[in-house]
Order: sequence, then structure tokens, then C-alpha cells
Amino acid sequence: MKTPIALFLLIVIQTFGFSQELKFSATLSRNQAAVGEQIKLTYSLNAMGNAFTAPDLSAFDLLMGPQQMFGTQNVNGKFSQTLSYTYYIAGKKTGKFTIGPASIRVGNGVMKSNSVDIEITKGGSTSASGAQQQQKQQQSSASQPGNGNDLYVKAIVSKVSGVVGDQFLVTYKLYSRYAQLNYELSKAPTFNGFYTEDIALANKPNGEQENINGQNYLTAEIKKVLVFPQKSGKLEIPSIELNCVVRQRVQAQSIWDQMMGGGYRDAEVKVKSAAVQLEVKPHDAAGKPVDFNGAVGKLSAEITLDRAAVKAGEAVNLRITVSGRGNLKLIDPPMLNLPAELEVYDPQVKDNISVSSAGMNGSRTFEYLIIPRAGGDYNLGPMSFSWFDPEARQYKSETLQILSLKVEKGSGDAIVVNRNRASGGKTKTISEDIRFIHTAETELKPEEPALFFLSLPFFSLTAVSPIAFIAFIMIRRRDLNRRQNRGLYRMKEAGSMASKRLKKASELLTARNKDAFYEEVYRALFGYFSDKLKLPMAELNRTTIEAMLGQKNASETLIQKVLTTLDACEFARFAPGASESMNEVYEQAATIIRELEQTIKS
Amino acid sequence: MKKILIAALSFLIHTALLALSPEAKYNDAHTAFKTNDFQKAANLYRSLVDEDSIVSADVYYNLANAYYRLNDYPSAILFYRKTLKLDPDYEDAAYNLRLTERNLEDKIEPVPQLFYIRWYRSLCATFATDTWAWLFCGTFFLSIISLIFFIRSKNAEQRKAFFLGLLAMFFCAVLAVSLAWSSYQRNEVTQRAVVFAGSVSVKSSPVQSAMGLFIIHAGTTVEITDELGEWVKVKLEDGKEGWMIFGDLERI
Repeated sequence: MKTPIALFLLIVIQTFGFSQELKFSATLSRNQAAVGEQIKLTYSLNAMGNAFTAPDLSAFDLLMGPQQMFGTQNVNGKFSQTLSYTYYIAGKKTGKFTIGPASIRVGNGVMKSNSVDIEITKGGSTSASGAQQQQKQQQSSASQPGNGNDLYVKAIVSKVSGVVGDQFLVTYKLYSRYAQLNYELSKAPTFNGFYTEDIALANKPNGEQENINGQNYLTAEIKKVLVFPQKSGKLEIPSIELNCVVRQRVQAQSIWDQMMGGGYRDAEVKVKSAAVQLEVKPHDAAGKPVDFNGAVGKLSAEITLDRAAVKAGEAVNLRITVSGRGNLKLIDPPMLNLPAELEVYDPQVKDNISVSSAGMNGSRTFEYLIIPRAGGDYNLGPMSFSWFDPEARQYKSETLQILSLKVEKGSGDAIVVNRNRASGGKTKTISEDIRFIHTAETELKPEEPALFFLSLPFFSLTAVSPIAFIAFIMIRRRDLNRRQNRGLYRMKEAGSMASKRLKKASELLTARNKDAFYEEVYRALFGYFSDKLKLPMAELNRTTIEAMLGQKNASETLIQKVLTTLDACEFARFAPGASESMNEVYEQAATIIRELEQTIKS
Repeated sequence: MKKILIAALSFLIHTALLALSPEAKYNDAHTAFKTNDFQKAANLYRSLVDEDSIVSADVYYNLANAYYRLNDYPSAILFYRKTLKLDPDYEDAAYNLRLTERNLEDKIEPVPQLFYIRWYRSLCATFATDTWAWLFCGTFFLSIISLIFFIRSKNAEQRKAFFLGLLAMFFCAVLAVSLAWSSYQRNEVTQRAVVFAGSVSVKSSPVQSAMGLFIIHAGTTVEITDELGEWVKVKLEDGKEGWMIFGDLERI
């Protein structure tokens, strides 16, 4: 019965005297530690006590302690006391341990602390020197937080080399040896030369424990990015900058601090990850398919045509599905080897892509709408889709052999469509139709009429005119010639002609036919002059004869003789009385002709 | 299959029409056309062309009209063109051809020509080759007559008149003969054909695997400029050239 009363009293005293609860607690600096790593175990009591009994610490190396500390504090008239026992211990072997409760006598009673659990993990270095080093580090980091290995951010790249279009997973991870993770992004990385896809993070709020080189770190993934290099060469994964707030344990300034679980200080630390170089190779030139358009990954492709027979004007869907793990979102519509007669629309792209730490997975489908406008059988293809498999380090492709598409005539629908298109915007006649047939009687000849142009009749007909012309020219020429020749002949024959006439005249002379005689002589002379001087009879008279003979260089006496003889003849013809000189006239005429023949040669 | 059907059909028609004289067929065809039995009309007119080897602009024209009514535009165009080849002055055929060509897939814009070339072309098309030939013969004859009169003329006035006459006649003769020549070249020498295949990819060279240059569709008229085996080199009115298989064409 005594104990409960004492406890009750104690509580009463506490509530009235100190107005605070009695508290005896055990705290560990960390819940997880590597083998050999220093752990601080603190028992604290907010009152005076004695007869402290330590728990069993045989599973640990006792590095230091127990250190007893006592402090009093008066804040705003409130009086507080703190009694603490501190042990520095280190784990000997891995496993989960429970440090049992410690007990202390307070007044008349005995208080037990809580028990604490600790997990000792496998450490990198278990040596004492390692532990000392860590201790040193911890001490130095306490003075300069964030320095060295206690707090850093790192860019982790899934691999450091690959080809253009290959996927790299970049994880920015914060490592901290401080108890809490408290950070904010101060500078996000900017990727140059990459196509990036952010991955949603599934971080535990308190971070995860990770052991690195024997040291346990609290880690958190800050940013996870899937990057696809777009060019070859050395590309840099940029750094990330973080502002972290770390809580440091510092020497307690006062008992109050200690009592409030204090002895901590918040410090802001900037951390920056180191840039990582990626070596990006271009695609192999050897064996590169013609249709390769940058698809990289572990892919497969499928090419299908939804129908094999349609009517003209109806749509057909050609589907190319690329699926697998790769740069799906970067795949461009493949080039199709389609007959140009088909109307092909730009493909519709349907994606079913998930982006996660496992990479870009899923499928991308290109749907081509094809409308054949005219009937016929068309051969589509061969069509192929190629990609580069970075794991197998070779190009792969899926080829669709020739697909035949049968297009029936669409009962003139296509043409109707066209007609509408053609007449749009033009002046409208109500309707237009062809002109009616010709029903008049016509010649139904079984053969094509021979062409007249360039035929024999054509050439002959054409030739007629020039021939007629040539004939005309020739006749004209001959005519002229003959006329000319006749003159010459007559000139030459003028003498003989005249002689013939004179001979006749001499016969008339003997017959004493006077009129006929003079007539004949006259005509003989005139005919002679006409022929000799190339003058028509009509133009012959006294004066012309005189002039012409003058021109022909006949002597004056001869001309005179000619004139007198002509006069005599004329006179005798029209004056019948004179008859005496018929002989004389005859003689004269004969002499004239003879003399003129000698004078006028041409 | 289609060909066999057509062959069978044409055989039936052939035997049925065997007894008919061309004149009777021609009249029957008119009647069929007037009663909107275009298929029968087309068959009758076609048999005149195929069986009786009738060469007549009127028959061709009527046949083309029947094909137009049956929406067989390539055949209609072929026969309108045949009509115009036979008689370039056949205005109705030219009109209907223009109308039919509007229904075609291809709208081929002829290469723009200078106005005088256009005038010359249309002048050339106003008469048949032979008409121009006769005109040439007449004017040439008259020019020779004028020349003769010119030579024979005595006074200056006459000479002047006949000289002018000579010049005019001679000019006309030269024009007529050159038009006759152009018309001859266009209608007789130039090989033209109508595309019958639904759509043809005209290739850059006479090989099946050659690159396709452009597409022409049924009903388009092309000029054949060269031949190589089953391939022909064709030229479009807009100046495009390429190779295609002759089987896709029907010569005008």
C-alpha cells in the first residue's frame, strides 16, 4: 500500500510543486546503425534521482560513458531539473536488438525508462579506426554541415553509353546522414540535346535507409527522368541544386534545451550534384535500313489493312503498330510505299505509352486513312518499319509483303464528287448536256476516204498551175522567137522575093499590061523595104522609107533614086496616060534592089 | 471475266445483227437512242464500226454520245476524238468532247501559247486537212493565173491590179498549204490515244520499277511520241512526258 500512496503523493507534489510530469526516457541517436558505428544512448529524467541502473548493454561495445549530467533551469519562475546519463556504444554484430529499460530511484519510487529498438546493419568498416574516422567526420560536419559525405546529391544514370534515341534513366538522389530529410529544389536540371520524360516519384516521406561503404544514409529520390539523347557525342547530364535544412546536435546551451530535447540547430545547406557525361554514339551506318527513322528499342511492329476489298470512294485503314520498350514517343510516321493513285491522309497517331522507371513502354499506332478514287487492283507495299535494337546492337525490321487492295468501281460516285468540285465557284448554267446525235442520212462507207492532201491527185493538181505557167512562158518565148526569126529570114530573102516580083513585072512588061506592071513593081519595092527595114506595110510611106534608109547608111543618090522610082510608080498607077518609061522604071527598080542588097547587109 | 462477257455479248449481238444492213443498223441505233436504250444504241453503232468497218464521223459521234449516256467517259472521249480526227470541223463533237472532259479526273491545262499560235491552231481546226489542200490548189492556181495576166498586161493599171491579185493569192496559197500541213501533222502523223485504265502512274523510264512521275486517269488524251516494246512514251497537253504501258491506252 505504501508505494501507491507515495506515488500518488509524488504526483501531487509534481503537479503542484513543479507542475510537470515525471519523465524518464531513453533515446537513441539513430535507430539503425552499422556494425561498429557509434550510437549515442541517452537516458534523461526531468527530476532528481539516484541509484541509476543501466540496462544490459552486453550486445554492444561500450565506447564511452556513462556520462552523468545534471542541470537546473529557471525559466519564467518555473524551475526545472534535468538528469541525464549518456552512453556511446557501437554494435558488435548485425541484427535487431532491444535495449531494455533502465531504472532510477526518484524520491521513494523507482522509475523505469522505455526500452529502445536498434537495428545493427552490416557495415563497410568495422575497425575502430573507421569508427574514429566517422566520429571525426561527424565532429567536423557538425561544425560545417553538408560538407563531405554527410549530405550530398547524386545523379545516377542507368548506363553511361548508348546510341542516339536510346533511353537512359537518370535519378537524382539525396543522401543524408542527418536524421531528417528536409529539402527544396533550388535549381532544376535543364537537359540539352535530350528528349526527356519525367517519372512520377513514389518516395516514402521519411526517406529510405541505404548503406554506403558501411555508413547508413537516409536517401530520397529528388527527381527521376527518362532521357533520350537526340544527338551523338559527349552529352552532359546536368546537375541539380538543392537547398537542404539539416538538424545538428550541438552542445546543449542550457538545461532547458536539453530538457526540451534540444541541443539541435537547424542549418541550411546547399548541395549540388556532379554532372555526368554520357557517351552517345550515332547509329551504325552499316546495315542501316532505308526506312529507318530513328526508332530505338526492343520493339516489334505490326502492319495491318482493315479491309482487302472496297468500293471506290470508300475508306480503308492501314494500321502500323509499334510496341515494346523504346523511344515510342519519338517515332515518326513511317514512309509508306503506296500507289500514288490512292488518296492517303496524314496518319492519326494513337499512343498507349507508359513512362516509368522501367523505361518507356507501350505502343504507338499510326492509322492511315486511304481512299481509292478509281477502281482497280492496287498493290500496297512492300512496306516496312525498321528500328535499332540497342541490346542486340543491330537493326531489325518488320516487313509487310505486298498486300492487294481490290477497288470496285463505285458507280460513278467518285466522279460525281469530282464534278461538284470542278463546278464550284464557276458561273452556273442550270444544266449542261451533250448535244444530240446526228440522225440525218449519212454515207456509210466501209473505208476511210483516202486523204487528198499529199496524194497523187493533190500533187498533180498542184503541178498543173506551174506547168501551165511554164507552157505559157514557153509559147510566148517561141512566139517571140519566131517573130524575130521571120524578120531575119524576110530580110535575107527580101532580095530574092523582090527579084521574083520583078520577074513577074518583066513578064507584064512584055505583055504591055501597064497597070499590073506598075502594081507589081510598086509591091516589089514596098515588100522589099518592109522586109529589109523590118517595118510593117502599114507604116511604110515615103518619109519613113527615106528616114530608115538614111539610118542604114544608104547614099543620098540612091535614096533619091528610090524616091523618084516610087514616085514614078505611084504616078503611073494613078495617071494612066504615061506609059513611055516602063522599061526605065523596071531598070531603075532592079538597080535599086541590087544596090540596096549590097548596102544593107543586116 | 469482264472481257469474256463482253466478247460473248458482242458475239450475240453480232449474230443478231448479221442480217441487218449498215443502213438498217444505223436507223435502229437512232431509234434505240431516242428511246433511251443507250446500251443497245451503243452496241449497234459499235457493230457498225467494228463489224462493218464503217468510217463515218456521224457514226463515231453518235456512238460517243451513247457512251456518254452510259457514263463510259473514256470511250466517249475516244470516239469524239475519232470524229474530230475525221472531221475537225464537227462542232457538236468538239462541244460534247469539252463537256465530257469536265467529268474526268484529270484537268490538264494546256501549256499557254502565244495568241497568234492559238489563232493559228483554231484556224487550222476550222477545216479538214483536205479542205485546206483544195483551198491551196485553188489559190495556187489563181495566183498563177494572176501571174500570167500580170506578164501579159500592157498598161500600168492592169499590171498593178494583177500584181496585187498575185500577191494576195500567193499569200493565201502559202497559208492554206501550211494549215493543211499542220492539220495533217496533227491529225494524221501525231499518234494520240486515250487512257482506259482507271489510273496509271506514268513512269520516268519504260521499266515497271521506274519512278512514277505523275498519275493520269481514264479518259485523258495523250500524245504518243515514242514506242519501245509494250511501252509508249506519252506527252500530255501540259507538256509532261513519261512512259506507260500501251495496253492502258486506246489509239484514236
